[in-house]
Amino acid sequence: MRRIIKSQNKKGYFLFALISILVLSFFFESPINKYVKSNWNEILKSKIISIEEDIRKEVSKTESKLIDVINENRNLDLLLSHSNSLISIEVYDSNNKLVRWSNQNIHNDSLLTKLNHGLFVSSDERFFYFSYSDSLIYKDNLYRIIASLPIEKKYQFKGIYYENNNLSEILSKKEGVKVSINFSTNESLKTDGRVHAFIYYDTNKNAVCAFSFEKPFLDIELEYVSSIIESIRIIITFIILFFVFYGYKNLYLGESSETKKIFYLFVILLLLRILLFVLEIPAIFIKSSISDPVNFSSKFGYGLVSTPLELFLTLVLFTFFIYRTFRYLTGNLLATTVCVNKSEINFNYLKLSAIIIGSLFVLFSLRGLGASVKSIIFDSSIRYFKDFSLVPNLPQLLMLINLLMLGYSVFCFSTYIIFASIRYIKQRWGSKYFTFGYFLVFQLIGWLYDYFQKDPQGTSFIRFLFISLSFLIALFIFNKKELIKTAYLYIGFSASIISVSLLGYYNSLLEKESLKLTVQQFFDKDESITEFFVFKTIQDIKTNLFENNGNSEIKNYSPLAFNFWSKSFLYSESIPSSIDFYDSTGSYIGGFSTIPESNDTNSIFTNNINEEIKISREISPFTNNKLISGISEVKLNSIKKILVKIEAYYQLSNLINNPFPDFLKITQTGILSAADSKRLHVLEIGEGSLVSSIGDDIFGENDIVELTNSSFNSFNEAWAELNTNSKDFVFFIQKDKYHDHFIAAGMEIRDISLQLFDFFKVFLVHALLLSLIFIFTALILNRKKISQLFTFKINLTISFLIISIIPLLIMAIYFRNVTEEKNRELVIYKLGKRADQVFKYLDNYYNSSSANFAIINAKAKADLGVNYNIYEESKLLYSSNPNYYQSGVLSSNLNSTIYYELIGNRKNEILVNNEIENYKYQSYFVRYNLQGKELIFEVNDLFNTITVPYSDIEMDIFLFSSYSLAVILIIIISTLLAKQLSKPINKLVSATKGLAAGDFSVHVDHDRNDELKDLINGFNQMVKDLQDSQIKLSQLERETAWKEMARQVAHEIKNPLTPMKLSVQQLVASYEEKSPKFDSIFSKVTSILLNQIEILKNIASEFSNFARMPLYQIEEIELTDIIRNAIDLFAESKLSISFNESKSVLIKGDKQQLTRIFVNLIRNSIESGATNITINESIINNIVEILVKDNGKGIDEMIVPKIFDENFSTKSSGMGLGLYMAKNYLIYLKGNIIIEETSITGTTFKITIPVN
Amino acid sequence: MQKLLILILIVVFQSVALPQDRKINEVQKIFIKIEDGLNNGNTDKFSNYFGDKTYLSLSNSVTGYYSQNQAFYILKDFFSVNKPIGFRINNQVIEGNSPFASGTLKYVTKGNRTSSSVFISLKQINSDWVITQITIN
Repeated sequence: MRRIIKSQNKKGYFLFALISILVLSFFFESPINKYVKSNWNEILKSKIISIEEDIRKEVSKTESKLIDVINENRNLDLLLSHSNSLISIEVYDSNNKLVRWSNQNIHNDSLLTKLNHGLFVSSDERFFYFSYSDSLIYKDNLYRIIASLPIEKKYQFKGIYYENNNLSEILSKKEGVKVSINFSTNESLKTDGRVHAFIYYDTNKNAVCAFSFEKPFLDIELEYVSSIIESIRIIITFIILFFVFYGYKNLYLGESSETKKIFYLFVILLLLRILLFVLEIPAIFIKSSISDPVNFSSKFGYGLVSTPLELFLTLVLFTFFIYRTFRYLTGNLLATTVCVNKSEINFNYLKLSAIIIGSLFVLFSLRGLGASVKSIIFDSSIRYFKDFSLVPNLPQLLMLINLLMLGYSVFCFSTYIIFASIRYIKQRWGSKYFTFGYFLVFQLIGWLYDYFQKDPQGTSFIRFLFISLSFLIALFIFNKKELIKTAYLYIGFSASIISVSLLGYYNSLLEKESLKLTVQQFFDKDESITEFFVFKTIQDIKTNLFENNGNSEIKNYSPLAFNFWSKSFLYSESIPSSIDFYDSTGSYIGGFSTIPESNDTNSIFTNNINEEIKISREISPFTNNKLISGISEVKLNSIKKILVKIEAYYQLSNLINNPFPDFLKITQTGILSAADSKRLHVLEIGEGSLVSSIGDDIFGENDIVELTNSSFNSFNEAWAELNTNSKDFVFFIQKDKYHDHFIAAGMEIRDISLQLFDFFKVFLVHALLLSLIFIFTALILNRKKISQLFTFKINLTISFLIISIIPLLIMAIYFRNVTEEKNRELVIYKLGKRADQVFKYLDNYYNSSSANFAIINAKAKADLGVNYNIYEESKLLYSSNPNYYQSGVLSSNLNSTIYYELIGNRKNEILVNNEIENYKYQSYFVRYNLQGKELIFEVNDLFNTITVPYSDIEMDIFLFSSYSLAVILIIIISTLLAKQLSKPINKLVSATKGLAAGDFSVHVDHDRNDELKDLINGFNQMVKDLQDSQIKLSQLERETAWKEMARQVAHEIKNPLTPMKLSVQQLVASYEEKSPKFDSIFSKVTSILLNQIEILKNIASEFSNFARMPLYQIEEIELTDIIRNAIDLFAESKLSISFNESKSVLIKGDKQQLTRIFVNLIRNSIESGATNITINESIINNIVEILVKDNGKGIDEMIVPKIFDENFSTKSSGMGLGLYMAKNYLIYLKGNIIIEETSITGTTFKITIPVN
Repeated sequence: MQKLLILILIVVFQSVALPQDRKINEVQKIFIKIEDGLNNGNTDKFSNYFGDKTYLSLSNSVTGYYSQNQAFYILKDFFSVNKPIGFRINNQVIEGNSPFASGTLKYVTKGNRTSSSVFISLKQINSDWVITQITIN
């Protein structure tokens, strides 16, 4: 830190500033708090003003919306079809008669006569509305227009479909204080020290309603201030620590020892994780489903994996560390020099023990993976197979990534251990049979390991698969002799296969656990608890009825009854129950009931009913279940009192079969949700026979006997497998202490096809993730040559995929639409048939009976088992489920669209998609003429169960799974086909490149007799012709050169010969004449001869130089490019060449010569049977060192010293010049080439060249 | 002899009366711990009484049977959003196989003070009392 600050750079100043802020924050917190405390009155005043202004603005916004709708549509037709679906429009004529409306009609005529223009509050049985009244002249007629927007629901309930979007709730959340709305402005404003209230006036200065809110509390304000300061501190601390880590980055990056680097990495990642955990980052900032412990939470690691997000963070760091360690350790083993002679490796008991212990560790790691996956299933509410959707939600996706990372880490570990063991075994014994033996021994150890365990993790098959896959990857790496990127992809897919298999296995265990829990619920529940719930609900009503409603007169008790019921334990515990209110004389004044058989709203006897809560039990007149009832008197004020009666069933089957309509269901997210209710069967067995059952399948007497004769443990529990109706079931059975009452819960065992179906649903997500990561990594690593990635083969594969997948998608969409349409038709048919049944029943009954409308309908419902509604005009005339309409949960007014379609447009039937809160259902409306009256019948799937063969979701799952499987097959087949088709083309490309580099020995083989055969034959012939031409040309050139040279030589030699001849003749003449000047002539002639001989020597040297090899083109070149180009020439061969290149190596040399050297070395390797070549390039002390390592058969020790000799070759067709010339040239460059090592497992050449 | 008789009587009385008293004491002790824990929003105070599967039904739509791990963190998370300012047990029934208690929990949620009914039930599994249900309505 000091170093960073001392460096006086910008980072240092920034860090210093951050530390200063952090320190100052501790000094400032107390003064800020003191300031808030001492100025609280002023702060409070400004806060109250601000909250009031916000509320006024919000209401004003709503008012503007309503005004805008009316003003923007000054035409009745336009107004009634306006776009805001929440706003209802009502149109009244000059006589205050409702003539038209859109959505719901809310008001009645009498109310309208009192209305002025402007905003006012109105209500129906469901909502309070802000309504705006205005007049409109249309086609010379004056109309009164009322636009209404619901702002407050009168009902509320707990459940996934209910959404509290009331204005008071929205304002409360926004302002951080509890806001209430009083819709009656006649009452005096309730204000005191705790509550502030005000009246809202519309733009015409009319009082609309009163708002009140709790004044902000000082302690909450102080807590809020502290939390903001704390959050700032956390962020600053994190940034500071990040800078500190960053400042010491060189400690890690500069470390040369990889082992130390791995250790530092471990420490850094561990510290980082602890730091994030202590600072609660990012949990403190992210409050969403991914940080919700419902989706996953485990106490493991002291909270490091307490939510999906925390688990993700931990696993990202852990997996990175494991990956880095795996890469280092495996790479280290691969890079270690292989001993020349296997006899040098001594048999070592220690190493053999290490292999066995390593095997055990691999099995431990599988056990660890199993335990982790078990936690992912058992400590989570995510149902990976049951609740599968096409696009997984965020927590589901995050958990699937976590699962993959867990598997990846374990596979890296197991692969390394097995790889190290195989390496030792292969070196020591060589034979592949020993490796296979090791595999068998490993599987045996695995079997023994599980056999002696009380509770093994996973199945034998998963263990076998895990070991086998680890072996395959280890062997793959061993054979490749390097960690190629595909190995990581294989590890990823293997990790996915094993982790998803384990997920499926533990999911089946959880399903069994949920069966056990289903049964245990029956025995855990106590009727005294139901009694207590009845007592508690009456107590709550007595306490809150008066408090909530004050002195205002309660007009309708049914909505009140529903609201009390929905807040009670009777609802949250799914107990069929009713709350009824009676006046002091015992007459029914309203209520709500979820007891299906109960229609009893008659008056009650008021004798002996007082303020005491009386609880009684009786057997239900309809079933054998116990009916618990409670009754008490409730004083509304000093004069008025009413009676409240609650009834509740203690009914076992309700623990499974939710007695409420679907929209009221409370969705269970825990263990119990694991079992698919469609597959669940619950049997209640008493005295040897079936008392009641839940589920679609029918179980006979023999099945019951088989279940009751199961072997029970000391807790009276048993598991049994049952085969009946050609299906296999698994059951959990528990009997009571008297041994005559059994409860059994079971489900159909999923067959192998369904298990595979489930497997693929999750595996596909992993496959997609892995593919994306692989493609992304490939693009990043090859970002400079992305265009080169799209080879002929890749383009061919992509084309195949496009051609195959597009029709598949079209088919999937078509099937989806057809199913949707068929489902719709089926729903219309089924609902229509029921409506028809009801109509015919009623019509017949009316003709033959004098019973009244209500009685006939009640009988129709009971006899036909159909729930329906009947409307006259737009008003509800009869409902089989009146409670939900009377309590205001459902509207008893017909929607305008349905009314106009059936009455206005004279349509006979219509299917409408309806919504109650966020729950969607379908309603079928049909117009019938019953006894001279035109009535509209409604049958919906809200109260009637309509089953279709495939629901939309089931269809999506089926299509996604089956089509995805098809896509995987298409990808595999396309890749193979593309490879096959592109093979000859690639061979041609490779050969052409070789030819271009001067290699005339290339030859392309092609077995098939197709068009390509002609092309390849043509190419081969062309190469042969080129080679012949080249030879002929060379011969011709040589001949011409020789002739020219001979002529030149003759010419050059002639020149000195003439003076030499003349001199010799002169010397001979002077001798014969005995010339007195002979001595001087002799001296002169010998001098001339010597000079001419020197000239002849020079001429000989000149010609000798001329006949040498061509001169080198020495220039500055990039060696890495040269090697890469040489490798590229072999790109399409079967050979695997990996090149670990240095960043930039500039040398002075001849491009052609160097390329020839590397091509020569690679070709030599191929000829020695190598399948894998590794080229490592590194710079050491300004010398570039290139190691060319192959896995060929090696060079005989006897010939190693001669390998660089001229004309030495082991090949019959070889000239023995390649290595000789390479050595000569490299020596010319002041470099060298030597054999670094050679053995039966391969040869390594070392080339050194000085760097420029 | 008289002393011996008294001693025998005490032993017999203890063997008959003590299990019931012990049960009341244990159950009351757990309810007190739960009351204390809910009062302070501190799940640690009673989390060791969670069974393998605990039924939670909370006002934030969390409903179901949860593992011991999950139950702990779900409640912890609930109290981090809804900060308790007071809890008192109003009713408790210790007799029967499933002793239960109920009370009113007052808490602050995003600045809003509110209250909920709480229901807790226990069950004896292998001589240990465990919490089987916590409902915050």
